[in-house]
Amino acid sequence: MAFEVLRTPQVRDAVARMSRTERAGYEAARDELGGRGCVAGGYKLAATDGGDYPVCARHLANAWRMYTTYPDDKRVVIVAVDQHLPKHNPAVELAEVLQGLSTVGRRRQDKPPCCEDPASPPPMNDQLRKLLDNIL
Amino acid sequence: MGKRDAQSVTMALISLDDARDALQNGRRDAAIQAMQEAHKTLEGIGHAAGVPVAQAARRLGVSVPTVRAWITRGALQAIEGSSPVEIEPESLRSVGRALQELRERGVDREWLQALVDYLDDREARRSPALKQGLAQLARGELEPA
Repeated sequence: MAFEVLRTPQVRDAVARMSRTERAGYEAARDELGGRGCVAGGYKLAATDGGDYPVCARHLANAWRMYTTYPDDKRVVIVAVDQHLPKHNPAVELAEVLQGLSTVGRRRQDKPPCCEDPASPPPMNDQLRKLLDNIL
Repeated sequence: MGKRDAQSVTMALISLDDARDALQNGRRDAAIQAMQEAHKTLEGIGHAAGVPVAQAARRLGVSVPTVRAWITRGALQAIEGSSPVEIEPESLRSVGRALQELRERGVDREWLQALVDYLDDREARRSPALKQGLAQLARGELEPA
């Protein structure tokens, strides 16, 4: 089953900044999305409340990450690719979070896959619509 | 270490002994004052700016690979250009305090990993690149990949 893979201008511009090796990694992931759909999307990002955010993340070469959404069961949208670099002083953030210690965390190995069945994209279309509505 | 630095270390040790005695006698304020004196004395010694990874791991009570993973994730800040890698002392202290609080609350290592991963996702959600891409998606600005 083949999927139509689309991208935003942000992705086009970011890919242009990649090295040859990094671009090869991006293109391999893109091709895999075209063949396997959301199964190749990586894992679901966690939302603020610890639930699922309507965007999947997949790690690429070096610090690059690819973020995807699935508007319907035929199309994959690569929303963004970005370098996930350490912040200036994230230890401060870590300490801040501890002030309101809660149980929203989830180990990476326990994170839900983007989806398990390529024929049915992640059940997050309503969430995605709400997110996009809020942006506009 | 030169003679002057060695004398400073001796003075700092004396201050720390004073601090220990003060604590044993229940004089908390005097202990803090003595520790501050020791700190001030040691600050005057020319020393390396950062903390080696192995020492940081011992101080935090975690493994060396864990310290390296936290540096990669940005939870610990490495001194730029240091080779072998050294960790910025204030960053080490911040994470040390956070870990101590976690341990006092009885939080286990798996939970800590979950917290780091949660922060990782939060940073991703806040990424300007993702926000820009979502805004472009909302406007229907799409092209074949």
